[in-house]
Amino acid sequence: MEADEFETFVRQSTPALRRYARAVTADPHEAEDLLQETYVRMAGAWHRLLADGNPLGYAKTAMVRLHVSWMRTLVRRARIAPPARPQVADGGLGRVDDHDQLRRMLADLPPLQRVVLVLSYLDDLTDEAIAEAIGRRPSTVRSLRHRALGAIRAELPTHAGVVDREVAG
Amino acid sequence: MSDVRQALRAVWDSDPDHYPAGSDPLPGVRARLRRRRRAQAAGAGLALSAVVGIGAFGVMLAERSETPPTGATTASPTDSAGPAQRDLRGLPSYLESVDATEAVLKSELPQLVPTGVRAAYEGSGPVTRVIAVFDFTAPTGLPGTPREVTVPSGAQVLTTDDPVTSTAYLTAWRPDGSSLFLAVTAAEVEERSAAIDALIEANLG
Repeated sequence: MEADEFETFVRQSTPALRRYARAVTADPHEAEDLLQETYVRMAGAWHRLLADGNPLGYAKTAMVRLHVSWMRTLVRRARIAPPARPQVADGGLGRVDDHDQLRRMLADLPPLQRVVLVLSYLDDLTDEAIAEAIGRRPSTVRSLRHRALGAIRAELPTHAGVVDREVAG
Repeated sequence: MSDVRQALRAVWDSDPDHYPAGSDPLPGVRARLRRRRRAQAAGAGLALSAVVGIGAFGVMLAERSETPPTGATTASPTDSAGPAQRDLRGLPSYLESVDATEAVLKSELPQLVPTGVRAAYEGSGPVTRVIAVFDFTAPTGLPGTPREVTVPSGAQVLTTDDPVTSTAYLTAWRPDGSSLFLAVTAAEVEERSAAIDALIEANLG
């Protein structure tokens, strides 16, 4: 009975959690891995999650924590090989799509900074809630968000100029 | 700030169109769960082997230290642990002897109780039921988590605690070849552990 409930939950929540995993990881392949690992973790605590009544909230928090815990592994990998970037479409005429540009910037951010952006702007969480989710202090959350936005702002105007020039011809 | 926020939201909202539709994650989740269960079973088996191995090592040490002096008559192998017994000592005073078959049927896992000379005790204290099987015929796997215990004699002992059934289990083999199975049911793990420790002290010491 509970196994059926769990599988029903997986089927119903997959679209939302897949989108969330893609936002958190900025990598579709890593997102699938994170999605499945999150469900595996939930299966182990399904009794309690049913009692708590908010399995989707648990899934998001578990996903973020899993991803942050993978940071160390990613950092180690990064020392050996450069981080993989998602393929970016160039529109066929050299015109850079804004979304692809921003998507690439997000992929280049350190995982913790990207997670803070997701929790801040996709989930609209307070700094205190974000701090609790990622196991850091609220001041650290503010600092991470500041650095993430700084990195994006530093690249956006340059690329916007490129886009403008390319569009102008 | 709001422009960046809107841009980020637009990117995240367009993800389903940008990336190919993902496949059903359930098969992958099931496969991972199976792998995890196998790994956990292997880990538990390893822990059980370690516990039994430590017990066997203890027996070996005990046997070496009990080597009779030259010229002395060979001591009975039951000297250290006493003869195979049919009465259980060290029980909480509020437990009373009950029909063993009924008690086994009332337990959470009756199929786990091996055949042998059975005895059962029930009461209304912290420990609600104790099932004992003397000289059980087939060794059995025990549910729960292995727990280390101190065994005063050279008996090989395996103890586990299973919170699902609120029962602590013990299988013991004395140096004289006799064996003992115990299932101690109590709501609190501390009560189960204390009862098992007392029974080990009284019956295997």
